[in-house]
Amino acid sequence: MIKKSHSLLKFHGVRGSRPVHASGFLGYGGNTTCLEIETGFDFILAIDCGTGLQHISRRLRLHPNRKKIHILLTHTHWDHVLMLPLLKELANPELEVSIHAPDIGSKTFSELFETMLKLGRLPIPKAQIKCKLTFHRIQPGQTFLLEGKVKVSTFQVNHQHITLGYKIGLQDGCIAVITDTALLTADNILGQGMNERALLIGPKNFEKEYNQGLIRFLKGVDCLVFDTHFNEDNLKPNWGHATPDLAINFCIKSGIKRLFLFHHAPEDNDDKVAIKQEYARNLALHRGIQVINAREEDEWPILSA
Amino acid sequence: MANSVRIKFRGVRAIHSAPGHHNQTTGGNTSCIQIDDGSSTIFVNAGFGISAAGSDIMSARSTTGKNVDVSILFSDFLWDSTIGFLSFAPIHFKSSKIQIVTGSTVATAIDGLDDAASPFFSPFENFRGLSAKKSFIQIHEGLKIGGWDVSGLLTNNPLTPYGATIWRLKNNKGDDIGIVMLCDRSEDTLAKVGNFLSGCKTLICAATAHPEHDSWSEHRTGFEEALTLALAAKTEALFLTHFHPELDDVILQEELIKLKLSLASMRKDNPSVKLSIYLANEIEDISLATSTLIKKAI
Repeated sequence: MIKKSHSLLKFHGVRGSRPVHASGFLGYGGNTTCLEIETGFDFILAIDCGTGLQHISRRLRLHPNRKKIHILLTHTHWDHVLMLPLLKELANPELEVSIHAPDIGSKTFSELFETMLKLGRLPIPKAQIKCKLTFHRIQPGQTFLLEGKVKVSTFQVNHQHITLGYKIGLQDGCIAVITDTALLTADNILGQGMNERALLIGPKNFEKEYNQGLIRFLKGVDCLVFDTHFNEDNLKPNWGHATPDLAINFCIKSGIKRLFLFHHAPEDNDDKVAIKQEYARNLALHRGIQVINAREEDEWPILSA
Repeated sequence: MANSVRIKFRGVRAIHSAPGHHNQTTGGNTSCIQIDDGSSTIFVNAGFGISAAGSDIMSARSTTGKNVDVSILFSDFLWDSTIGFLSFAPIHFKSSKIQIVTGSTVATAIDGLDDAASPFFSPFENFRGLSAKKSFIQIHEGLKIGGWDVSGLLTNNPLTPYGATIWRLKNNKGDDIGIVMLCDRSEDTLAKVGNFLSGCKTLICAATAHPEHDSWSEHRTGFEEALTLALAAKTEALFLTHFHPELDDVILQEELIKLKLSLASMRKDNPSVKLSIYLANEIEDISLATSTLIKKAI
């Protein structure tokens, strides 16, 4: 039986590190991280505010009846936040923007955003924020409801600061988004607070705890968006990024049947990104895992037909 | 001997990057201009366009074995002019020499670049900690870089408390380039800048402001102001750049046609005006031998 899906995953920016515009890169797109989940409810749900956010900005102008946005931030590196203060719609008094983000060091994201506005580095006149802007501090291992309807769970992944992976439970499926993470081993522990935990229980025990925790977190997920910035040949583990091999490994162990390769390196042109997909499909062969390259402005149902 | 000066527009966008098919002809990276004369390499601004330049320079280095030695002139320290340096490969090599030139103070430059390399927003601690040998110069009277005499005019601009610098580069071969990336369009500022650029043969000017598409037009030049400056400076070739991210290829071509019609109308009254106008783009370079755009060999 084919189950009809209402929830959609939309890719607005699929690049990691920095935006890139050049011939040979237009096929998969050059904007940095921004995804949207069409939940079937009346609010927009976005993940991260890389330059791909400009697609949502454009749509908001075309559909001014959309009055509410929830933004889940994975972390605060430029490729995930740069467009937020440049979002023109922050000047719309009819819009409600709720930002859910982890603390970074001793600062809340609300404080960091205030700093972004106050530094005098924004290439626009002093931001006139007239929308109803609210900030929600979230933590690793937390579960909360958006508008009482959409269940969101978080997991701290292996990347600088506190970087969150999100699992989003929808009416007709479940998606997990892990934009930036590296293989965690006893000698490659990157996240804020992780080393303290590793010291407490021992690095090897922490490695086991983390990896088993992430596998548990991903159980029951219908589709996974996962960092595949590197491949096994050019991997720099301490940069905090992963490979298709790691992504597929987690799919196998968590029983996930659909994988989107994401956070394409800005150095990788369309041909290289296509080769990555082919490589990953070969890895997933006979595993029953559908492997798809994330491509800017593609839309996918959360559940495959 | 043929003029060897080449100008590459590595990034032509103001405010934020705008990658995509709709900007295929013009480009989508934030601003960066590369000026090569065979003996020196000068960049103006380090938007994301500088990343590709860094890759090319490192590739060339692997052939020539020469260490990287470049200068970056900053018009301002707003993020669309700075953040790209984090992905400029030579800055991560100890052997590279990078000279930062500013019209404002050295402290302002360091602060501006440190803010862009903040550990909250980047994988680095600050700009100073990056590997390359970095030197900072505040331009006063003038500066010699390779064969160029470089001068700068620091102007007030409400977008930035540290002001915005207009650049002028002259060499002894008769090349004379004015570069306006961020400039308030008040009459007073335009008059000062026009005076500073007087007689420059080639003007590269921001055409960011747009009445329909830019709600952030204040304190920036648009197409008309660029033409005003070119006429005031009596320049021969005007290259428009630093476009608002919402001005796609189609809109930019329309604006270029409007501006050329406006110029044609002026010529009826004043036939002595000799000015050619071009849209800068990330595909073609300028050769100063002809002051026109030429296709890059790809």
